Parts: sequence; C-alpha cells; structure tokens
Amino acid sequence: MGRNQILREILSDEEIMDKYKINKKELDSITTNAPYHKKVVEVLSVIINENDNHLNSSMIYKKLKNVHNI
Amino acid sequence: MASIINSISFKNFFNYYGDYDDTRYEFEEGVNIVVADNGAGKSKFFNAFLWLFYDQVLDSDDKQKKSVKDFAVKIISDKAKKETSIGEQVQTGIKIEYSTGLFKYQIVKSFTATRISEKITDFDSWQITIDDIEIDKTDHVLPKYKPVYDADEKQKIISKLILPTLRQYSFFQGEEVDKMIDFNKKSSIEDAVRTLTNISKYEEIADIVKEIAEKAEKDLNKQTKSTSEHNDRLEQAIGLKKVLQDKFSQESEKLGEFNNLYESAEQEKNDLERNFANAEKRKELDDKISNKRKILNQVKEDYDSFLDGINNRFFDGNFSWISLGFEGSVNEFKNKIKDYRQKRYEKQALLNAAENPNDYFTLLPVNSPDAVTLDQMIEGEHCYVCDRPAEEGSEAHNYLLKLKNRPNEDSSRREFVKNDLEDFFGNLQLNSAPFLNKFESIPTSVLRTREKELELKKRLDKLSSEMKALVSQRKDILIAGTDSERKDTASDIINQYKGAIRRMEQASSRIERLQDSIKGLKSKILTTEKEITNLRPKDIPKGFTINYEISKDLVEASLNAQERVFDKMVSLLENHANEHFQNLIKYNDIKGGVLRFDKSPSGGISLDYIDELGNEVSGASEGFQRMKKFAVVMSIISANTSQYNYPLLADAPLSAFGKAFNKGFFEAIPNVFPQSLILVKDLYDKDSEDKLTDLGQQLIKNDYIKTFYINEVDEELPQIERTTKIERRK
Amino acid sequence: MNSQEFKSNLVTKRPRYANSRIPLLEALANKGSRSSEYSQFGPIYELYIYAMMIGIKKKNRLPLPPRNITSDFLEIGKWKRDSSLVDFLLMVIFTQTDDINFDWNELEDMEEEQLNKVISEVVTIIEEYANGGLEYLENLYEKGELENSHYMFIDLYNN
Repeated sequence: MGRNQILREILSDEEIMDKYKINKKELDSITTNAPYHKKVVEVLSVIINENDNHLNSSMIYKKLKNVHNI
Repeated sequence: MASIINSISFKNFFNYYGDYDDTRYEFEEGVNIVVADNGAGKSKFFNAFLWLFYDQVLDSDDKQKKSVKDFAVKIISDKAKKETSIGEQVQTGIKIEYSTGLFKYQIVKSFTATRISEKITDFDSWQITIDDIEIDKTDHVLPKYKPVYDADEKQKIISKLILPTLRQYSFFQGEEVDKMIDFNKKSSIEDAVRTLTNISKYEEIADIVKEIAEKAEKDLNKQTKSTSEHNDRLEQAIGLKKVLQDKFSQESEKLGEFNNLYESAEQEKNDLERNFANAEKRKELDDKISNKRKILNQVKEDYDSFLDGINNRFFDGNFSWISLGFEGSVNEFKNKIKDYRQKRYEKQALLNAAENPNDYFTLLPVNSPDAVTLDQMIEGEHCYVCDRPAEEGSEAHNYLLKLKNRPNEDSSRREFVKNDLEDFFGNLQLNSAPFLNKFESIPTSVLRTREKELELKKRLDKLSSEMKALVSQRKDILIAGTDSERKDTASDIINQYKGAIRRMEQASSRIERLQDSIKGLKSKILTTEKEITNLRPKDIPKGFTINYEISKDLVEASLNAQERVFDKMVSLLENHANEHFQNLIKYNDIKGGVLRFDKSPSGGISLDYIDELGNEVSGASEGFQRMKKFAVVMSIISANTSQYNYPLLADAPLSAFGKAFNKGFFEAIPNVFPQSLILVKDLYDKDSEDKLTDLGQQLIKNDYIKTFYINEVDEELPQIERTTKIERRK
Repeated sequence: MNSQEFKSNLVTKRPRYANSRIPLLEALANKGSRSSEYSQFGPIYELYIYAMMIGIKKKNRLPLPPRNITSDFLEIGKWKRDSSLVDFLLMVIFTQTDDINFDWNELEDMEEEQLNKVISEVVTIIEEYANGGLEYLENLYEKGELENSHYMFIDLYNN
C-alpha cells in the first residue's frame, strides 16, 4: 500500500529511528492504520491519511492537536 | 498491464488512399516492422499518433507541428481530393484498435471536407468539419463493440494507450530522435522519475509537515508566553530564532534563484555551443547551396534552350529534319530537271536548224548545245541532234570535241524561249544542297537529340535532388531560440557565449557565498533552538512540546525521504540504462562508455556519458548517441514498478546505427517492450527480388519479428495519383 | 520574264490561312509569348511550313474557305531569310506532278499574264497543302491526341 510505503520510508530516517527507538522489525510492520504504538507514528499516519482525504494543513493540524490533547 | 495495439487503419490519410479496410495494419505483441521508403507512409504513421493524442500532424515541409483543423486540406489524400467534385464530400480519418488485459478499444478520429471551389489544393476550396471522436469498447468475451458516449471516459481511453507523461519515451520520430529526449533539458528525466514513483506524494507530505511544524512552534511559543514565568532571555531567544529563520528563508530563496540563474546561463552556454557548431555547419551548407544553385541554374538554362532548339532542327540546314521522307521528291526533281534541260536543248537545236538549214546537215549548229549536253554526247558517243552514233575516233565525235574546245565566238545567245527559267530551276537545286543529302542521317540525328536531352535531364534531376537534400539538411539544423532568419554571425554568438559564462561565474560566486551564509545561519538557529529548549519553562503542558518536537523531526525526515526516493529511482534507472546500453552495443567492437545520471544543484538530472576514468566521452558516433537514448527509454520501462507498460513506436534509422547496432537493437527491444512498432526505410531495396535488403531478409526470418509490412509508392505515377500500397509479408 | 523576275514574283507572295486555324496556331507556334502545354514552333511560318509538308506527305490538300475569313502573313521570301530553306520547299512543290498541271518547258513559252497565273496556282498549292496539314493537326489537337512531349512534331512527321 502506497501510504504504508511512504510512512516507512520517512520513518526509516536514522535520526528518527534513533530518537524514537524504532527498530527494523517494528519499522517493517507499521501501517498507517490504528493501533499506533508510538506518537510519532500516529502523527505521521494522520498526516498521510488525511492528505489522501484532501484535508489541508490547517485541518490536519486540528486533528493533530487532538492527538496531543492540546 | 500492457496496452497492445491491435491494428491501425487509415482513410484517405496523406498517401493512404481508400477506406479503413483498404489500408489496415494488424499488429501483435512483440516486434512489428513496417518497411517504408521516404514518402511511402513512414512519417504518416507518426502523424496518426500525433493526431490521436494532440490533434496535430507534422508538416514535412517546415518540420513544424500544425493543428489538424488548419492543415486538413494537405492531410486528405491527393487522389481522394481529385475524385471529389464541387459540392461533394470526402472523409479522412484514422482508426486504432488496442487492448489492455480487460478490454479492447476502437478509436476513430476523422474529419469531413466539403469541396466548395475549383482549386483543389487551396485551403479555401474546402470546408472542414471535425467529426466527433468515436470510441467503442468490448470485453474480450463478447465479439461486439459497444459505443462509449461519455466524453471524459473517451479521453481517458485515449490517454491510457500511452500515458501523457510517458509519451516522450514512447515514440521517436525519425530525424527527431535527437529531440526525443533532450538531455539538455533538466526536466526530461525528472518527468520520468515523477511518473514512475510517487514522489509527488512525498512532496505534499513534506509541505504539510513543514506547515504543521510552523504551527506547532507558534502554539508552543504562545503557550510559553502565557505561563507565569516570564523570561526575557527566552523571549529574546525566540525572537532571535524568528529573525534567523526569516533570514534563512530569504537566503534559501535567493539561493534557489541563483541556482536557476546559473542553470539557465549554463543551458544558454550549452545551446550556444551547439549553435556555434550549427552556425558553422549552417554557413557551410549555405555556401554549398548557393554554389549548387548556380550550377543548377546554368544547367537548367542549357536544358531549356536545348528544348527550345529541338523544333528548330526542322529548318536548320545542319539537321534538315524537314527533308525527312522527301527523298522521292528530290529524285523526282533531278529527273524532271534533266528532262527539262533535254527538251530545252532540243528546242534550241531545232530552232537553229530551222534558221540555218545548210549548217544543220554538215556542221553542228552555231548555237552549240550547252556544255553539259555536249559532254553527254561525247561520253555517250552519240549525237542527239541527228540522232546517230558518234563513236570515238569518228568524224562526228571529233567534231563534237572540237566544238567543246572551241572558244565561244558567238557571244550573243539567241533567245530561243520567251522565259528562260534555267537559272530558276538550276538554282533551286544548287541552293537546296544542305537539305538534299541528310536523309540517311536524320534518324540518327533525332536519336542523338533524344539522347542528349535525356542526358541533360538526368544531370538536371541529379542536381535538383542534391539541392533538395541540402536544403532539407539545412532546415533540420536547430537554432535554439533564435529567429532563423537572423544572421547569426560567429562574433554575435561568441559575445553571447561570453555573456553566458560571465553570468555563470557571477551566479556561482553568489551561490557559494549564500551557501556559506546559510550554513552559518543553520548552525546559529540550531544553537538558538537548544538555548530555547533549555530556557523554556518546565511546566508547559507536554503535549505542546511533543507536538513541536515530532513535527520538527518529521520536517527533516520527510525531506530526506523525498530525496532518497528520488535518488533511488535515478540510481535504478541508471543501472537499468547501463544494462540496456551494454546489450544494445554488445556486437560492436568499440567499447562504449558508461551512462551516468547526475543531479544538478537545483534538483534537475543530466545524463552524462563517461569513460572508465570518469571523463566525458565526446565525439561518439551517431549510432552510440542514438543507443544512449534508447537505453534510457528502455530503462524507464524496465525500472517501472507500477506494472504499466506501453508500446514503443520508433523510427529506426538503421543505416545510422550500423550493422552491429542493428543486431543488438532487435535483440534488446523485445526484451523490454511488450510491443514495438518499428518503422524503417533502410530495409527497402526496390531493385532486389523481394524488395528487401540483406538485413531485411534476415530479420523477416527472425522469430522475434511477429509481423512485417512493406509500403510502396509507385513513383512512375504523377504526384497526384501516387498512393501507398501495403503488402504484408508476415 | 526571266528567272530572277519569276522567282521574285513568286516569293513576294503572301500565302493565306483560314482564320479558324488561329487557336491552333496560337497553341503550337509563337513560343515564348504564349505558353502552351504542347511543344511549339517559333514564328508562325515555321508551323505553316511544317503543316504544308505534312499535308504533302499525307496527300491532304484542302482548299481555303472564302477569302474574307482568311488572313495572310509573312511573304515567302522572308521565311528563314538567310537560309536556303525556301529553295528546298519550292523544289518539293515543283515536283508535285499531280498538282502541277503545267510542264516546266511550257512555262518558258507562256505570256506574262499566264505566267503570273501559274505563280498564283503555285501559291494556292502551298496554301491548300498547308491548310490540309493544319486541319490534320487540328483534329488531333481537339481530340486531345497530340503527344505532350518535345518530340511531338518529329514523331508525327516520322509516321
């Protein structure tokens, strides 16, 4: 699935994997669908999914605020 | 899934005269070859696809694309035009059938022309209406086609045959093979990468993430402000960061601009380099053309005056064609004048006898016969006067001799006729001499005249076609961006060139400075950010900080990901391209170079051709140049991960390739393209038994080659009668 | 009348042609001034001579229509002035025994008046053979059977 591919590609970034403690096995299994085991995964998944739903950045940000409870 | 073209048919389209069924090509998966000499329908094939996709055709005279509607009259078959009287209509169109895995489609594009006046080639003599596009579809189960009515669906079906972004990699038109992928244009490979990957998605995500990060930062700062602990230093730091950030954006923008400037200056430099080479070539051709024209005009003059002179040969005494067939009259005349003279003499003699009866019996009359008759009598040993023999040695004979030799005593010639016409008739004979002795030579003379004419004509034709070739070559030379009428002198170009180089240098130094500055800013921003993080109050709701952290990290990560995806694809293309390239050139003795895709600062891609030491290979033969491009094109298909395939429609200039390339080419192509339609002229040999060259005969036997057509045009017929005849050989 | 006078009287005559032949003359003569799809002769007299000779070859002698619908042109003596072409033509004419109902020797005894009549007859012969030849060409021209090549005239002549 394109979205999963994009998710994994972006998160495969060395610094991200380091900082957020994502290992390879985990990386290969994450998808843009819930449940999300890490916040960073959730945030990016929301962005990717809602972009495909044609939401703009303001609308996506609103959703993210909910994710962070702010 | 691949789209496969099943058939292409033409109706009254350029040289293809007749209805769709009359000019129909059926194709299969694999390699299909159409052999056509120039003018026998080769480029018309491409025009069908140009019409299909862009409603255009290529005008072979000025090599420009023209809209179908505007150019319609020239598209209609000459023969069909001729057969259409005023008030009647003729239809011209193309019909293409293609299949995907699921469906089979039939697309018909046509227009109707009504003749409204006399001059058949005038655009004003015809009224053109473009017909609605007809598309029918069927699944492979039912044999019948069902019409498609929805306009959007129709367009989709047409696009699906070859996707718009991939079209430039799908069909290569003849001499424009060089333009097909213009490696000087940075976008040419980018477009391919874009289509083959979902890089646009990455760009979208990166943009969104950036905006979100900005918002997150704003919110965090707002939050920071609203907590109780008021921190001047923090505020300063935040302010500073903003300033630095703004500066950073500004400079990044400027950097982008200068990169573009640099690239456009570089592009101009490259074009000028090409142009300069072209300018020299142009001048060379111009000189050749004007010399040839001089000779051509002279020969034409000679030829015309020769033709004018042909009929003069009737009346010119040197040729005397007018006397042909009149030998009889000439002989008649000789006889008649002899009789006439004879009678005259007799008359004269009788008159003398009447007047001098005495003399008559003993002597020859005083008014002696003329010298001619006298000679005749002496020779013939016979006296005509008294009609009795005068043998040599006899008295009569001696007397004749004496007469002959005696001085003319009697000068006054008695007139014995009223009108002495001796001179009249005698002179006719004398004067006509030039016309009297040519009879036998006239047929030869006519023959020689014909031969000379043919010789001159041959010479004239040869010069004309050489001229045409030169002019065509001249037209093909691209003059990037300049008005072709303007005289590009070498010094103009050199000045422009110097200007371009100067701009490149200026841009380059600015770029360097900006890059340094940006680097500096970046590290300053980082430091400031660290400071801000340290100074931030610890009692801000975690959500805000996390929001900010994550989005900031994602900004970097998404940009990196975008770049990785792009680079991966370029690398993949590079590998595939080199593989194909090696396959294409494998039968060549010369070791080719290696293809390398290079990224330019502004993100474009250029194709380099380097040897093993990493140096640019220059001066590669045309065959290698063409193979480079084919290799890239093939890589776009084979590196394609989206399973989308499309047919290759190519004009293969096999003679430019050379034998070794041909082998490599025909082996490699079917391994990459599920279907290819190759149009060639180099396999046509009109003098050979089966009209094919050796290579053609080889290819037709090859299993890879699935269909094989030969197009022929009858050059004996006048232009307006010429049509293309299609012959299927396989 | 002596030889000189006889010849002079003869060659100062201007033969006539039927006006109805004018389209044909324009199509097949006067090249350079009027263009035509067909091969052309230069001045009209060239075509006239050609027609006359064809007429003689094909034994096609056709009397002219009434004088008022005929026109004359260049006098015989001026045809190809510096060549002996006219002598050759006269030679041919004077051997047409079927047409010449006089004997060369008879001429020498004729009165001037009679001799002038003979001269007129000779001109008539020229005119009528030319007319016949032109008619033959006209037929081909109208039926579109004229060969469209530079060798049209010599091919016709060769038949």
